[in-house]
Parts: sequence; structure tokens; C-alpha cells
Amino acid sequence: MSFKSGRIDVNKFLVSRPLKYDTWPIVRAMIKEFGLSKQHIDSYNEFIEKGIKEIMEENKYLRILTPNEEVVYEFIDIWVDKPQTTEFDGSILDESHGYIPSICRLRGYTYMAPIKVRVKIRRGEIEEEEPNPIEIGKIPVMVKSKICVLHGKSREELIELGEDPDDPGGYFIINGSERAIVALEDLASNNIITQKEVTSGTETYTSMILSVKGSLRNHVTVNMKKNNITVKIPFLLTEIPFSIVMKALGVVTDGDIAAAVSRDPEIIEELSHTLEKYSNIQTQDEALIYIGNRTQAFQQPLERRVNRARHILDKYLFPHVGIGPQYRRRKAYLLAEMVRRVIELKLGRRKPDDRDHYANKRLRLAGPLLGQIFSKSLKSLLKDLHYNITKNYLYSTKISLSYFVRSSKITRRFAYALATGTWTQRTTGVTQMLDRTNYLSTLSHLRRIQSPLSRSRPQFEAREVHASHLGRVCPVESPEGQNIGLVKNLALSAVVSNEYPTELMLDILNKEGLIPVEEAPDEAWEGFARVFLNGDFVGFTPEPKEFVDRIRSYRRSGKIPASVSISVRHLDDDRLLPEVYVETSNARVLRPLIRVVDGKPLLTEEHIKRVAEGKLTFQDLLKMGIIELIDANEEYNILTAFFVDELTKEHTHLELAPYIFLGITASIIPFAEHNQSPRNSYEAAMAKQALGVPYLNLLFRMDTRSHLLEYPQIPIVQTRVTELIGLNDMPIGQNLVVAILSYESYNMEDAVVINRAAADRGLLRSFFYKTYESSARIYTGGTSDKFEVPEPTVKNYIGEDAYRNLDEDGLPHLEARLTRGDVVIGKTGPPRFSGEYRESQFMEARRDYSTTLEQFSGTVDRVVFTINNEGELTAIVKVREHRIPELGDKVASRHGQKGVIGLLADPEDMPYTADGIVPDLLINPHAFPSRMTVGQFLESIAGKYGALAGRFVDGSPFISYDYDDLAKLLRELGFEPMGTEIMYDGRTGRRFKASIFIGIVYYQKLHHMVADKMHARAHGPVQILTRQPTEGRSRDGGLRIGDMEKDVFVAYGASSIIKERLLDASDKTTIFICEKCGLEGYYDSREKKLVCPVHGPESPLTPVNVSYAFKVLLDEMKSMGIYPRLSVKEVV
Amino acid sequence: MTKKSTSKKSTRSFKIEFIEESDNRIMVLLRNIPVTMANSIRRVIISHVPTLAIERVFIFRNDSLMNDDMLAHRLGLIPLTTPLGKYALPEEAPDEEGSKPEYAELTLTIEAKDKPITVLSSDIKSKDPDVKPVSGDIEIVRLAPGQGIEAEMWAYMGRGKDHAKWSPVSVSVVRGLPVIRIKKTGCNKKCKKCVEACPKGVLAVKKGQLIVKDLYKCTTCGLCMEACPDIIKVSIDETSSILYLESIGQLRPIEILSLAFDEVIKKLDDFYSSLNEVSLENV
Repeated sequence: MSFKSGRIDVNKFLVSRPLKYDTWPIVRAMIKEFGLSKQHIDSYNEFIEKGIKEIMEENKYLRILTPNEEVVYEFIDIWVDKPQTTEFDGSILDESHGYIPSICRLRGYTYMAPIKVRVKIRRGEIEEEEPNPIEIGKIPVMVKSKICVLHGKSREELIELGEDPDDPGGYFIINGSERAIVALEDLASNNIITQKEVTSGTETYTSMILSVKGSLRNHVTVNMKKNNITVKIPFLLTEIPFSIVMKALGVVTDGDIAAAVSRDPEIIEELSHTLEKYSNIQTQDEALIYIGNRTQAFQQPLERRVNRARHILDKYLFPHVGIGPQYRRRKAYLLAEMVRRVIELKLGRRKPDDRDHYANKRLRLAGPLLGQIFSKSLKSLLKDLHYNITKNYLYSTKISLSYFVRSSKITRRFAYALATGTWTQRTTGVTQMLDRTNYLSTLSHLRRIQSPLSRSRPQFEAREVHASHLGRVCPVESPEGQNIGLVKNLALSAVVSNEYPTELMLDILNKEGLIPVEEAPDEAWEGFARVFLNGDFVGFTPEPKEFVDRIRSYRRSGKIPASVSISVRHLDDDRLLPEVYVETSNARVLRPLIRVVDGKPLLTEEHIKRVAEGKLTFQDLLKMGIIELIDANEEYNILTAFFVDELTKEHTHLELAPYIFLGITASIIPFAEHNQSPRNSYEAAMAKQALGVPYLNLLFRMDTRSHLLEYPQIPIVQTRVTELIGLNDMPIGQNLVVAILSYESYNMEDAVVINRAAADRGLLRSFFYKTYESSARIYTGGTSDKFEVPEPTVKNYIGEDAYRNLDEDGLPHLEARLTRGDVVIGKTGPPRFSGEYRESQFMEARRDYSTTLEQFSGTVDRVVFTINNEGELTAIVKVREHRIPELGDKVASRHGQKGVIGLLADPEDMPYTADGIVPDLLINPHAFPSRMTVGQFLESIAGKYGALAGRFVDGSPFISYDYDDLAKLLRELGFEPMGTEIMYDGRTGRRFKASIFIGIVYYQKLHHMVADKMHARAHGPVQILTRQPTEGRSRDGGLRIGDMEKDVFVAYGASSIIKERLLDASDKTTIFICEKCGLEGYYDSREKKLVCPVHGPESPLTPVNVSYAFKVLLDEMKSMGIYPRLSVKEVV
Repeated sequence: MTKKSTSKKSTRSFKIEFIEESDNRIMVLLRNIPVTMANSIRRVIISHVPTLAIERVFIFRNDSLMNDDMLAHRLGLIPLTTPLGKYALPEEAPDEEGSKPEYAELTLTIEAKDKPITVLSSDIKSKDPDVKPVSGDIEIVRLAPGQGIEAEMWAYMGRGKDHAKWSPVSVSVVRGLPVIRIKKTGCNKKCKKCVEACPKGVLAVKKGQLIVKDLYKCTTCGLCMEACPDIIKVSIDETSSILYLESIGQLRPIEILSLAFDEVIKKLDDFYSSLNEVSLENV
């Protein structure tokens, strides 16, 4: 009976509705080839390989001017080594010494790799290369990236290294904790966005470009207010009139300027005002002086001003076009294009661009984000170097850079940013602690997208689902509340583009008949389509459609990457010329579509078969042009069918599969298309709280808190994606026999009744693991902490009983049962404060620093003894608690139907069917009418069929069985087709009049459990300042009688209860008031007399009961110089 | 059901008819008792018939990945053959000498040598030959090479009321006896709609006659009635109940049934004597 491999092959037993054209193998191949955190890993790899070099190019030279000569350090190469770090004792730690992710997590290390540079020193005539590469800092390593030690390792090797072979990677390990970068959804850079703004009655038309090149990020805005057109350029103090910028860029005559914008008289007319108003500035030099006067250098000599103006125009105006004087003309044309669009918008020929359209969005991923940090910290390092070398040059003969580099600068900057998520002062929360509640939540977290828009403002449009989200962003998975629509998740089909060099693309365009702007004849300006490459206006083409087709054929034959987008946009107004957009940039979100020619998909059954057999890969299909990756821009040129049978001659594309536009979390909902849409959203949020198997390397991890479901089950009814993402290896729930039936009032208001016998047999049981950590600090002065069982003589000794589980080493033995208040780690150390010297004059006096178990009891599961990165002995103890489902624990089905356990009913009281089936769970029928989660009914019937037939049932949305199919299947097995059955009341044995709907539904146990939350107190701790009871379970706090609760007693007239709750049971205190001055007196215990601070012991003092908080108020007033006087009178 | 007929039938005496009996299941017809009374038998079968189950586990060695808590729980759920009367019931105090033993001792000692093994219930050794796992094929845990388990288990008598592991049955059903009335006239015997409507195949047409093929399969779902409302009427005989139970294997079905009757009688006796006590006190 013993089995060989661990798991059932779900696909072998999966019953699916037969489909005519099933593209499942392609979807499968795509996800298997790409992985689920591809975007992060790709982006990181791109940075390690290219980005870091680009940033080095920007800072290639370090020039030191000394009295005698100029010393130039030139960085000739930069690269990232294999992961490596320096141990606390100075030794080098690398892969061979156990510097691997699993050990980093355990020992609290940061997983990083050194950045090394090769430097050439030029000193006058002498040029020499530094013999050894210099480490300038360390960069955190993304797990499973190219430089990670896990890269390319087989499953067996990963297991050997203590890793979960199914871990997706794509996160960092900083100080032992896993940090995930959340992708930022940015407005597309280098693209013109034209919009209309109305502020207090005046209309402003703006055209904006966020120009990005390397680490430069500059906004250039063209504003048109009334008929005055100005340009906003970074580092200029004011906005500059458009005509002056053009002149400064070398387009001098009014005619040339107008011609660069348009040949349409109506548009030129709009320009005339700007041209005429600043006609006093005629030449390029005059224009440069005008601009120079508006730089920071406006008080400096003319030459400097002009140079400054040139520098700004060459570097900060449209850096994406190019840096240097040779690009001025191209920049002028781009600027003119922006102006043209502004005018067209004003004239109503053009519609404002849609900021929320995904064509205008880019994802800022790990690469560019780390680049930002690196660029900044590198600049600051170079500044330091410059200072230090200049300072030391005269006194030192050494000029080797390695002598001056302090590599900790960059290392710390990186670690700080990733550990806290603070990038700039404004952008915070970029990294988050990786969600390890279950495998699904981890995957979902790594595919999250965050919009940088403000949380507090409404911004309704930005939060809504946009048509261009289809296939790119999941329309279902978004949190409720203030982040709704701002936090999103990548759809399953989404692919993030990688960069293809612009220069190579330009070559292809030129080869295919692009007319460059500089050489364009007049007829091109008048009637040809404009071509934009990565936002740069590069030229014209007379026949846009054919041109685009020619370029696309490059992509379809695999000559250029599939991620390149080529699209032509025909605008609504006839007077506007078509525009061709070619995008090779990274961070665009693409989606795969099957190409269709003459109403027939190019992807044939033969292809599908060969992919299923592994003879063909998804990449091959892309290269063959059978499947295309389409970005939101190109989607304007295509017509896509959702299903094969919808195809007509007009269609150009077919959806790869109808269910992959959902995100990972939404994809696990069976029959999701039958549910009311918010229910799917609720489930998408809830699945991330379900207990399951978070990772397979349980033994190698010591997370502070984690849960493990005792008997996780593969769902009987599941979507194809469930298997694909690996959730069947780490499931998040159990298949329960569920009857829809009320049971007294124990399942009203979303409670559920659970069969006690089922709970006895292991249903919904879980383990809760909590980890305690303690380090033996080494203090200055030779003293240190020590792990031991404290002697009764040490200070703060808790009591012999609390230490009973500890061995001599101060650590508990495995499987020791600990209860609340017991010591987990016994540790002593020198007393902390000097004030304690009075009692302990001797050096050997010790104080107890033990760690105790609070609000929790459990069994010692695992003990790790190690040395942390500060060189201190560290003990980590994992304690486990067995959680049996109890009253108040939270459970949920996969249809947003959550509830708490309202009763563990005895098995004999539960209803039963004629066959003797007793449900595990009873859910109230009232949970359904208003919520309309029909999917759960279908799941229930399908589950029942699956259980009876010994099969898994495919419930993938849009392609699965409908009710009629399921009814037929059930009927064939001898059950009522509606999924109902005659049931009997367990308490009386009588038949229920109605047939009861009973079937199998997959339920999740959510991590909100009563054991973590229940709390009550009678007496307990009080706050020091006010002497009122503390707040919160962790501080054993009281339960507050708040304003609303108070009102109940007021309404009832129960004044004594109010006084008792608010005063006697809270901070009642007695103070003594001097009858003469009304101030508080005190008790002099030596004289045994009450004393007034003003009138002395002779004055009469009256005891008064007040709230201690009131006494504090009196004291505070006195400290501010206010005289609070209480006049005391006898109560009659 | 009218009042008249109920009172008339209740005067008839209680009768048990055996419908089906095998090693692990039994179906009987209880005639002439109300369904609620029959149900009390069913309830007692589930939660009051005592059996043996492992209650205490002493784990001396457990190298497996399974936590001790979970291992103990799994061991507890293994059904054990229960020799009736050999071990003390929970309410019987084992104070006197020569009284019944309180528990049965079992041990599990196993180690995976050179390849992974699955520990099965057949690996459990018992000191009492009468007490052993009902099935030897129950999987307990998998062990990798070098891992081992050493444990001693004490099995106690107990009742399903305290934990489901002591429950002797997996299925225990009481339901009213179905009554299917077919009108002799009006049925054309050819349409077969009612026969097709029934998912359990209760009805059949035989020799041109619509007949009830297997009455005990009828769940009274009424689908046949919906298909042919004029001809077929399905109802329940309130005075007769079908009792069906499937044993897990600790006890034979007939033993379960007779023990259940004993338990009911014992409960009634207890109730009767406590009534007497109350009435005496009041006098």
C-alpha cells in the first residue's frame, strides 16, 4: 500500500469539459518558462548587467586638481561579484562557507555581493591601471537572480541548500528578513502626455514629457495659457517662451519655428502671439542670454550665463533624445511636436491623453529602483573620495583609490533603503516584508503593483478598472478601503518588457524607409505620418500602414525581441495625421495573443500538441510570430476575439486563454464567472490569510510567527491555474462536506456549525509556530551575557518553577511543554543601571535577562544556537502550539463567504442523509440570496461529483462545466441532479420537509483565531502617568467603557455604575485640599500630619476623592504658573 | 397520518426484522416504534457504545518530520479490535484487586534502514492478542533512512461522546420506512418517466407492470412524484424505521446494536432510579 512519490498527479485525474480548441498547454508552457516573479528577476539582472555600467559611464572620471598636476581616475569596468560578505571577525564568507540564502535567513545576515571596479590612473603623462579590482560597496542580492548562488540549481541541489525548490525568488534578504520590492506604477517616461487643466476659470493646455536617461529624470512641460506658449525646463527659474527656446536651439526664424510645428494655417495662427510678443529676441545668442539670465548663474559673467544655458539645454532638456550639442535640432523638433499637440488640443482636434491608459504606464521594478540608490550613493562616494584625496594628496605618496574607498557607504545605503523601504523622503514603502502566510500570498505579493498616487485624495478615475488593464492587471484583486484600485496585481498573462537598444531599432527603421526629421522634405511635414521611437520624434513615413507591417515582420520572424511594440495611431480628427509609435523600452506590460489570419488562428492543434509534448517552447512560438506580445499601445491596431468560435475575417488576434486575465489569487476561484464580482475580490483578499503550507523548507526557517495546516488537501474542484502555480503542492484548505441548512441559531449571521467528530478526526487543525530569539551581548569592560539557568540570587529572579524546562545551557530541551510565563531562554548579564550598585557591590553580581513566554503556551519545536553578524552567541527557540478548531475561529470558502465557528456540534445531533453522510459544516441559507455567490453552489455540486467519482473537477472560469453538465453527471451516479438530498434531523430522526443542498466545498482556515485574541481581566496593570488601566491584550489591559457604552448607562439612569466604572474601578485617588488656599496638601509621614504647602501643618485639610488624571491636570497647571484652586464644602 | 391510525398501530408490538447483514454492516427494520425512539438507538450507537482506542502515547523517539502532537493524534484514530468486557469502562473504577485492567498496552518501534518507509498500523505490536488494529493498511507516517519511532501506547475504553475515535460506526442512519403507492389505473406503463426520474432506480416496469424494485433504496426524494403526480404517491410510514449502520471494525455490527440497546436500557434505568430518589426526597 505504500506509495512511491509524494503526490497524486492532479492532471491525470482531472475531469474537464472537452474543449474544441484548448490552449492550456501553451499557457502552461508560458508560466513554466517565465516563472511567477520574472519581472523582478529580469529587472534585477538587467541592472546587474547593464544598468550598473550605465551609471558608471555617467560618473566615469574622478578628477583631482593638485597644485602640480591633474590626477584623473577613470573607471574602466564595473561588475558585481558572487555573493560574499565579511564575517564579524573580518574573515570572508562566501558560498563555500555557507553564505547562502537559507543561512542568511537563520543568522540574520544580509544577502549581498560586492560591486567591483577596475580603475585607470592618469597623472600627467603617466597612465597606469590599478593592479587589483577595488570593491566600492556591496549590493543586496535578489534571490534566484543571475548572481544568486541558487541560480540555475536543480531541485535536488536547492533542497541540499536548505531551500524550498518551489520558492519563486525575486526578493531580498536584509538582516535575515525577506523584503519584497513592490513594483511602482509610474507614468510612462519619454512619452508626450497632453492634457487640459481648468484652474479658477482659466484653461491651461499642457504637454508633458518625463524624460529619463540613466539616472536623469526630468520633466519638461509646455504650457499654453490663453495664447501664450511657454516651456518649463528643469533648473530654470521661470518658464521660457516657446519661441525663445526654439531660437536657443538653433531654429531662429519665425518661419522655421512655425514650419517645425505645423503647416496648417489655423495652428500657425495660434503661434503668432508667442512669436510676436518675444520678437525682440532675434538671434540664437540673444536667446541663450535670455535663458542664461534665468538660471542659477544669473549674477555671473555673461560667458558663464550663456554656457550655463547651453549646458541646461544639452543635458536637462529631453536627455532621452541625447546629451550634447549635436541633438539640439532634434530636441527642437520634439518640442515643436509638443506645442503642436497643445494647440490641436486647444482647437478641439485632439482629445486629451488618458493618464490612466496602460499605454501611458510603466512599472518601476527592482533594477531602476536600485539604480536610483546606486547612482546617488556613488555620487556621494565620489564626492568623499575627491575631498579625501585632495586633502591627503600632499602628505601621502599613495594615490591608489583602494586606499581611500570606504565601501561601507554604498553597502549601508542599499541595506537601509531595502530594510525600511525609504527611497527618497517622499517615496516610502517601496519594500515590504514578504508575506509568508501561505504560498499563494507570497506569489501574490511578488506580483503586486503600487500606484504612487496619494491615498487620501479620491482620484476616482485612477482607481477604476480601465479597459487597457485587460490581460495586464487583475481586475479582481485589489484591497478594500483606502487603497482600493491603487494597489493592484499583475494578471497571470502579463509579461513585463525588457529593453532592446534604441540605436539598433533606429537602424531597422532607417532601413525600412524612415525619412529622418532633419532631412524631411516639405511634403513630409505636410502629409506624412510622424514616427516616434521611444518617445523621440525620429522621422516620417508616407505609408504608415505598410511601414508598420514591415517592421512588425521583423518581430514576427524573431529578428527583434517579441517585446518591441509597433503601432500606428489614427486620430479621430481627419485633419490630424497618423502617428507611428515604436517602443523598445522596458517596464511596459504586455500580454500574449494568438495571431489570426483570415479568421483562422495561426496556432494550430499540431502546435499545441508539440508544446504539450515539450518539443516546442513558448519562446519558439513567439519567435515564429504565432503568438505575439502586445502592449496597450498596439492594442489600438488589433481586433481580438475572446473565444475561437467568435472569430471573423476582421479579427487579427485571439485571446490565448479566456481565464488568464485574472491575477494569481483570483485564478484559484472555481466558477468565478458565476459570482457577484465583489465576492471574488473579497476572496482574493481572504485567500492570502488562509493557513496552509507557507514553504517546504520548514526545518530550515525560524520565522517569528508562522502557521501550518495539519492536513492540507488538494481541492477537489479546482482551476487549472491552481495546479500550474504549484498550489496543489502547498494547499491552503480542506474539502468539507457542506450542507446549506440553519441549525438552531448557531449559524446565524455568518456563523457556521462544525461537526465535532470531524474536528476530532483532524479537520481544520493547524500548528502555530512562534520564535523567540536572544543574543548574549558583549559589553565594554569585559562583561558579557551568558546563557544559563539563573541562580536564585540574581536580580529579577522569576522563581524556580519558571525555569524548570531549561537545561544547564539555559535552553529548553526539545518537546518541552511550556506554559504561559515560563522561561524559554535563560540568560543572565551584568546589572544594567549604576543605581543598582548599592545592592551589588561586586562585579560578579548578575541580573536575569531571560525571555519568557507571554500570552501563549506550547511545545519546544526547534532550538538553534548560532553566532550572529555582530559575533554574539544567539539562541533561537521555536515553540509550537497545536490549534484545534474552536468556537470563534474564522473559516471561509473560496467565494468570499467567510464566517466564524458558532458551534462544534456533537455528531449525533448533526443532520444526516439516507446514506449516512454527516456534513462537516453547516452554513446558513441566508448567506446566499443577497451575495449571489452562485459559484459556491456549482463548486458544491462539482465537488460532490468529484468525491463520488474519485476525480478532480475542473472549475476554471469561462471554460468549465455548466449546471446542466454537472446535474447530468450527478444523476448518473444515482444522486438528485440539483445537488440536494433528503436529510434527517439528528436530534429527532425525523425527515426534513425540504430537500437539503449538500455537497463538497473547499474551505480555508483563516489566521484570525480566538486563541490569539481572547482576553479578559479583573485587576491588572495601570499606566504610570494616569493610573488608569492599561490598554490592549499585550499589556493585559482593561476593556474600555467608551462614550457609547457610557451612554447606555446614562439612558438607563444607572449613575452608580458610571461612577463605579469610571472612577472606583479606574484611577480613583484621595487628595487632601487645604481649605484656606485650595491647593493640594500632602502627608508628612515623619510628623504624621497632613501639611499644606502654603499654610503648613496648621491649616485644615479635607480629603477629596478625585480621578488621578485630574490630579495630574492640577499639577500640570501649577507647573505652567496657573493657580488651580479647589474650594471644598461639606456635601449635605 | 391521522391520529386515529397512529393510535391504532401503536398498540401493535415492537418487532425487529433483519434486512441485510454482513461483517461490517447491518440493516434492520424496527417495526411499531416511533421514529424518535428508533433515533435514540442511532444516537447511542454513535456516542455511547464503548470501544478501545489509544488515549495515551509515550514517545521515546520520533525523528520523523511529523510533530509528536500530530503523531499521537493519528495513533489515537487507529481503530482497535475491542474484546468486550475485558477492559474496564471509564465509569468502572479499577480500585479493587482482580478487577478488569484499565488499558491495553501497544508499542511501535520502527526504523527506516536504507530506504524510506511508510509506517503502517500493522507495525504496531500489541501485548494483548485480542487488541490489534482493525486494518493493517492505515498509513501513519513516512520515515526517511535513519529516522525512527519508538512509542508506547495505552488504549483505554471510551465513548464517542468524549472523542470521535471511540465511536464504533462510520454510518448510523435511522429513517422512516418509505411507502410508495402506485395507482393501478391511469398508468400507461410505457412512458417510464417516473422510472427515469428516480436516481436510485427504485421503480421498474416488469411484465407490463410498474413495480417497486427496491423499496429500501428509496430516499423519498419525490422526483418520481414530480414526474407523474397523478399515479405515484411517496410517503413515510411513521411507525416503522430503517436502522442502518456500518461498523468501523472495533465491534461486530450486531454487537454494536445489542450494546446500544443495553446502553439505552441503562440510561432509562438510571433515569428511573434518579426519579425514585427525587420522589423519595420530596416525601
